Amino acid sequence: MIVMNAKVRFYLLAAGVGLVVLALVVVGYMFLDTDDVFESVLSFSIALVVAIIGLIFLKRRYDDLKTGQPMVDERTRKVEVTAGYYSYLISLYMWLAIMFVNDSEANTLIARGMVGMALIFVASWVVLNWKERFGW
Amino acid sequence: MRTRMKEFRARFDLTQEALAQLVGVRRETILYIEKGKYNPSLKLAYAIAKALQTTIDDLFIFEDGD
Repeated sequence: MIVMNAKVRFYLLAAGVGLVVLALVVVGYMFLDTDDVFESVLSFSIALVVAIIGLIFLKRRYDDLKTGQPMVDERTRKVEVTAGYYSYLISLYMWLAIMFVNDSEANTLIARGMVGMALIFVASWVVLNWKERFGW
Repeated sequence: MRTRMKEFRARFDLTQEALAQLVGVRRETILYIEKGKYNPSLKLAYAIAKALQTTIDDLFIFEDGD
């Protein structure tokens, strides 16, 4: 198992969030070029939401870094792995549903699928964290 | 599973954060273990017991049905 320095991990996280936001903005502009206003606005909106959530998440991780708290420990890793497991299972059904949608280009369907998978993972992660916090 | 972590922490005047730093985990992990919402690995349980100068048997109480 690779042990990552906390600072390196933080910078990689920040870079990851930045790349996702940048990709969504680029996709938004691509849709603007094709006069697909709805998809463009959707892309920009998702980019904004990801940027806001990403900044809040990064701020908390930065505070952890400053106080010397580890960003990841056995419990957070367990939550991530379990969230990954559930989101993979749910995503299979999502892709099945997408297969029946034939009104869009393949690239658009794939992009929607990828965003869907990311959202499902975030939802799984939030539910598993709240499950512990609120004792569901 | 119940735990006597809070009692042992008080003996050494240790906050959850201080104990978390000693054993290398996040403060929330210590909180959830004390509330019985998370079962630590054997490695972590041993590290906590060692930090609190006691044994795993003294620190963690398993009840019927756990």
